[in-house]
This record gives sequence, structure tokens and C-alpha cells, in this order.
Amino acid sequence: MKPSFSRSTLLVLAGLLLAGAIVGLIRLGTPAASSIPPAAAETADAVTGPAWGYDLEGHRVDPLASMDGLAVVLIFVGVECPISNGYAPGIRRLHEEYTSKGVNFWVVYPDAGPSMEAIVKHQTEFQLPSQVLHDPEHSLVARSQASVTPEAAVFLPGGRLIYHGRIDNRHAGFGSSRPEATEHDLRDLLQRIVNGEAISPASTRAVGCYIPRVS
Amino acid sequence: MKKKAKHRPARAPSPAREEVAPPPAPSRRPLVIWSVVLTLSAVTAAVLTTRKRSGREPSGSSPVYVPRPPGTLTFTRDVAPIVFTKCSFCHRPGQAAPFSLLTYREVKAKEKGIQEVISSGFMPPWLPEPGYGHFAGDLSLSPEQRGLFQQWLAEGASEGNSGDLPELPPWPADWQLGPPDLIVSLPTAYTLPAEGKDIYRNFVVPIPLSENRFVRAVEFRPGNSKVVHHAFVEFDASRQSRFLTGSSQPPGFDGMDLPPSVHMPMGQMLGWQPGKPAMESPEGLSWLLEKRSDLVLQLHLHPSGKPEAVQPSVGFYFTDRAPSNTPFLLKLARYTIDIPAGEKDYRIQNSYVLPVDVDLMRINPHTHYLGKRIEGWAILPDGSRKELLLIRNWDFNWQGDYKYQEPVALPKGTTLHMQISFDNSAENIHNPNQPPQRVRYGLQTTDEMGELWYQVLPRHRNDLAILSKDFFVKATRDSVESLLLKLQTDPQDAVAHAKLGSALFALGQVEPAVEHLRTATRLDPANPLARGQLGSIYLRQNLLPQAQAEFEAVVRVNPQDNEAQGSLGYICMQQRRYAEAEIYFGKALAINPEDTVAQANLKALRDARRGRP
Repeated sequence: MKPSFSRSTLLVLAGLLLAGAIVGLIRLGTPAASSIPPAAAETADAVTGPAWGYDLEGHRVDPLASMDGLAVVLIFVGVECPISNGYAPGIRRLHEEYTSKGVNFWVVYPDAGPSMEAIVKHQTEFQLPSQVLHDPEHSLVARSQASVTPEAAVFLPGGRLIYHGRIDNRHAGFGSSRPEATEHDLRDLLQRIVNGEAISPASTRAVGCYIPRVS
Repeated sequence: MKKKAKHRPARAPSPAREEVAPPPAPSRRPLVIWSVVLTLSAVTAAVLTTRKRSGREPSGSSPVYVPRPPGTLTFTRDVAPIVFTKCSFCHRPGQAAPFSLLTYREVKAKEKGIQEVISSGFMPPWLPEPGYGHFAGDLSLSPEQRGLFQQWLAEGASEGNSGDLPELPPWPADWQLGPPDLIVSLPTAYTLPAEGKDIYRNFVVPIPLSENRFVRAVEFRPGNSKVVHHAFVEFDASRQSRFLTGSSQPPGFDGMDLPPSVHMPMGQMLGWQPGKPAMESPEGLSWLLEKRSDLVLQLHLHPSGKPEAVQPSVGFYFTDRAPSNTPFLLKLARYTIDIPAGEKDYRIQNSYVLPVDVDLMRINPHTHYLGKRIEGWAILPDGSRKELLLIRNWDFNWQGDYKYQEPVALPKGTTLHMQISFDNSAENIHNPNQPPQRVRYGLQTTDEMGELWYQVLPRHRNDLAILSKDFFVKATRDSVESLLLKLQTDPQDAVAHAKLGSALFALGQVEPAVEHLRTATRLDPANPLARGQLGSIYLRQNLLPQAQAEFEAVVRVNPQDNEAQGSLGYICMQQRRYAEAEIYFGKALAINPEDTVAQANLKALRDARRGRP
């Protein structure tokens, strides 16, 4: 049974879950298993503390520091990942629809490889939301427990990770894709947040290009 | 697009198209003798004397990988040779794959994904099961290669000595076979939308060729390798595809349904999929590219997330050497597909007994999203079974044709078999309908199709006529069977009546043919297929006024039908209405200047007029 939290309860709980945070950090420190992670939803570990990426000018930015909206969404994308690219129009629509409702979107490029120039070119070509961060040190990857691109992470005010995983269920695996998604995990979650409905921490398995570990 | 009686009979339709329509009916023009066309291979000179025979079928049991001593495998010595031969052809800049795999760093950065895709078999993309046919350009990893790769990954993927690194293969920088003799490109790029379901788009480009040429090789270049998943290279000597394109912008038209005049010439199987090398015909098997015909490219495109410009081109390599033999395309299909919702294992079968000795050169399976298992095999006259193809898990996105390493000898009396199973359950993730719905045969990707194409070369070149005529009868009977079934469920289907009438006429059953064609015109007075076919029957029966009425009905629906215009000219000519005849032939030739029948008739008309002052 997954517990159900209201937003205010979560805010309180967020500060109390230090043990969970430590467990989460230890897990992140171990090498990723080579087998496919389970698809079953599990309770997202609460990882807190500062997290940062670099903006287009190379300045450190913590996208979770100032949270005056309802939620922050980090969307991890890759410059050469076709599955990630295929989601660009969908990401754009979510951004357009939910920004005005108090959700703050950041597009995060976790691969250390591409230059900022290449990132800007990609963001422009695919018309992704303009709040872009480069995360070569995987600070945001760790904070979000992201493993692939594209993957979404949703944080509530206070920095509590409430969801990480797929945007929708279009892809079940490499070469195993539905003609159209039938479950829209990210959209449904954002709608519940906007509606002020009860939400519970969850994660799903995202399918896409693995984020290379930082050596 | 509705079918009409064809100008030139006995041309195999392309694998891209699947029609309940009967195989081409004999020409409705008296001036064309269709046995001549049946032997359109008669552009031949020499007799084929030598041919390699296929060896025994490779054994189905795969050697097992014996792990190497722990920690001894390196990229440079053990893994790079596998990557360079099986991955890098596509995984390099400018090719179809989304990222490069040319260096240790590039492979290392993708190690987790690589581990997953080679374990699942998603990469390299190769559908045929090992041991069932031996194919050229096999991209799959052998058990040895997969084992080495996986052990290396599991042990941390170390680099090794740089001195061990083999050279990259010498991939051609530009056209694979050097500069082509002729390059035909889409003049302006087509823009693929950023998102949505995959698209079938057809492009029509005139080929600037004033003389007929023999072609020895063709290379297709997608012009945007990121979004083109599959392509067919076809030709149209009529102008019907051009009219379909019209002045539409972006150029071309959608769908899998092409005019019946579109074809792959002379038994060619000109398909392209990522990773496939240029299409070279074996020695002595060049094929004829007709002057002033149109190139018709059918592209299967996947949106990428941003608008993509697609500008494909085709390079032709000519030879002066006429072909000494001509292959033939046999298509085994079922048009009676009707899969109940939720059915997990719906099967179709078909078979054909070869009337002559042949060598099987290529095989091309085709189904849509519900297709699952595809099998092709042969029972030889001695009763032994020869495996030709097995695909356990069909993937529409990686469809293509497969060339046998050595042609497979199939003697006269061999029975070719195909069996295809479909999964219309909710568990089939590719199912376009959730929840599943009843799915029937059809050309849309949400319909289903099931066919297996065999490209065979008659052992004796004069056998081509026997083979094509025999197979024509078989395919026409298959059509009749499926159309009768269709009419049982919908007796008011005018198109089915028209197609059935055409098929019956092709089988020589004139009276029932006329009956179905008349039913078709009663149900749909403007049906051009039924009208044209009736016109052609009346013409043969010398019922000129009746024939004229039918062809006039055809041109009312489609004034661009040069064959109907030409037939009207012929009727006028028979009735010595020479001035009118000349106008009709002029119309036919204005539509298609290459209409050889209209040209011949116009010449005959002018000779006749000159003969009578």
C-alpha cells in the first residue's frame, strides 16, 4: 500500500526524511545494475540538499531553490537520443499548458559531452522550453534519481521529489513502442497537483538513452 | 485509387502495394499481343551457363560461447572488430543511427544501453532467425560475438592496448559504388511534421533519360537518414503517378496505394532499409530502365520531434550489356485476412508449386503491426524440406528484403510455402487499436496484410514465360477466392464486383465476368475499373458502340486516362472516323507522350489516311 499525502503533509514530512535521504545517496553511489530496472512503481526516496546545473552563461543555478509555484519539473533530455527527441513536441505542450498554472519547467541536459553551444542548438531546433540547464556533474541527476533521457522529475515546494520516471507509456522498451501512449503519467500528476488533489510519491521506469555515469 | 485494366499485362505489382485487385488483365488493346509482354525478358542475348548452387542448409544449432579467462577481454583486440563490422556502418556521422560507435569512448559511454539492446536482440536490427536461410549482409551477432561483447561489458569494458585496434573498414565516403551515371533527386525537399504516427509518402520524379538503358546497380540515398525507415524504388512509365501528385506542396502523396502502372521492372526487388548496401544486380542480370519514365519513391517516415527536410535521391549505374536472364517476383499472400479482436495467433498460409526450375535469390516478407511470426519454406520434389526464412518477432519498423548468400536451387515441382501469424491481442504492444478491434485485409497501416515475396531466377531463360503465365493464373484464382468471400459479406461492394469481373475475364470466363462488371456499373455507374474492363471486352467482341460508351464513361471520371482516350481513338479508327480518331490519339499522347500503343495507332491511322486520298 502506498501512503497518500496532501501537499501540506508532504512539506512537513520532507524535513523528517533524512534517513531516507542517506539511503538514497548510498543507492546512487553504487554502480547501476546491468539488468533492466523493475517497472513497478516504488516510493520515491526523499533526497534533499542543494542541487545545481549550469545555465547558458555558465552560472550555477539551483532550480529547486526558489519554489514559489506549485511544483518544479525537471525534464532530462539528450542531444542525440531519438526517443528523447521524439518527446520534444509533447514537452513543449506540457510546458505551455502548465507554466501558466504555476508549474516551473526546466530542461536538463545531463550528458557531459555536448558543449553549451550544441545544447543551445538542440534546444532551439527542437523548440524545447527555454529554461535550460547543463548538468555535467550529475547533481540534478542524483537529486532526481534520473537514469535515462527522456525522464521527468517532479518536485514539490520544499524540494521534495514526488515523482521520477517516464513522461508517458509510449515506449515499453527498445523496439517495443505503442502507436500512441495510453497512460500519461506526467500530465496526470501535474493535473492532480494543479487540482490540489492528494498525491503520493511514485516512480516509474523511463525508457530511453541511459545517462552515462560520471567517471 | 481504383484499379483499371492495364496497358501492359503480366507485370508483378510491387511489394509496397497489396491489392485485392486481380493481377493485370490482358490488354484491352488489340494491337498489343500480350505474350510479347509476358516474355519481356526477351531483351536477352546469351545463355546463362554457370550458376552457383546453394549448399546445404546451415544447421539450426548454434555454437555456444565459451567464456574467456576473466578480465582478459579488451575493446581494442576483442570488441572493436565486432563493433566495426556490425555497428559502425550505421553508427557513424551522416548515417541512419542516432550516434556514432567508432571509438572506445563512444562505445563506453553507451555501455548500459548496448548491454540491453544486444541482450534483447533489438540491435543490430536483423529479423531473420539464424539457421533459416543464409543471407548476405547478415547484421546479427553470432553467439560468439554476443558472448564476447557481453563478457567484456560485464567485466567493466576495458580499453586495452591501442596497438591492437584494427583499422576502420574503408567505407565509401560518398556513393558506395563511385559516381553514378545518373542521379535523380527530389527537386525540393519534403518537410516531415515534427510528430505524429509514421507516414507513408510517395514522391514522383521524372527521369531525364532520352534512351532506354540497362541498369546494373542502384543506390538509394534517403536524404535524411534520421527519419527514413524504409523505401521502395519503383517506376511508372505512364503518367498516372504524376497526375496523383499534381501540384501538391509538399510534393508527393500519402499512403501505400499506388497506381497499377507503378512497378519494379523485370523482377527487381528494389527496397532500401538502413544498413543495406547499394543494390547491385548479379552479373548478366541488368534490367531495362525505360526512357522518360518516372521514378516513384515510396518512403516510410518516422517523425523525429522536429520538422525534418527529406530530399531523397537515387543513383543509377548503367551497363551496355543486355541481361541474359530475368528474375520473376512471386508473391504468396492472403487477401482474406479477418482477425477477430483479441486473437493471439491468427494464421494465414499459401503455397505454390513451381512449374520450372528456379534459383531463389531474395525474399521479402511484409505485414503490418499485428504480424508476428513469418515462415517461408520449400518442399522439394523428393519430399525434403528446405527452410527459407523464419522471423519469430516481426517488427514493421525494420522491414526489408533479404538476399541469399548463394541462390537456393529449387527444382520444378518444388512447393513454396508461407505461413504468417498475427497477434491482435492487447498484449501486442504494436497493436494500433487499444482495446483490440476486428482487423481485416487492407492497405492502411491499421489494416493488415500478409505476404511473402520470392525473387526467383528461372534456370532456363525461356521458362520465364511459363512461370509468369502459370503464376498469373494462380494469383488470379487467389484473387477470385478472396473477392467471392468479400462479396458474401457485402454483396453491394461495387469495387469487389469490378475486380472479380476483371479477374474472371483474365481467367477466360467471359460471361460471368461481364455479369459482375455490369453489377458493378449498376451499383456505381462511374466505376472506372468496371467501365474500362467492359469496354475492353466489348472491343474484343467487336461491339464498337457499346465499347465506346464504356470508355467515354471512363474519361468522364478521369480525363487523364490515356489508355481510355487511346481506346476511343481506336474505336473511331475502326469506324473510319479518322479525324475524331486523330483527336483522341492526340489526347492520349498529350497525357503520356510515351504511350507506345497510341503512337503505333496514330502512325497506322496516318498511313491509312495517306493510302486513301
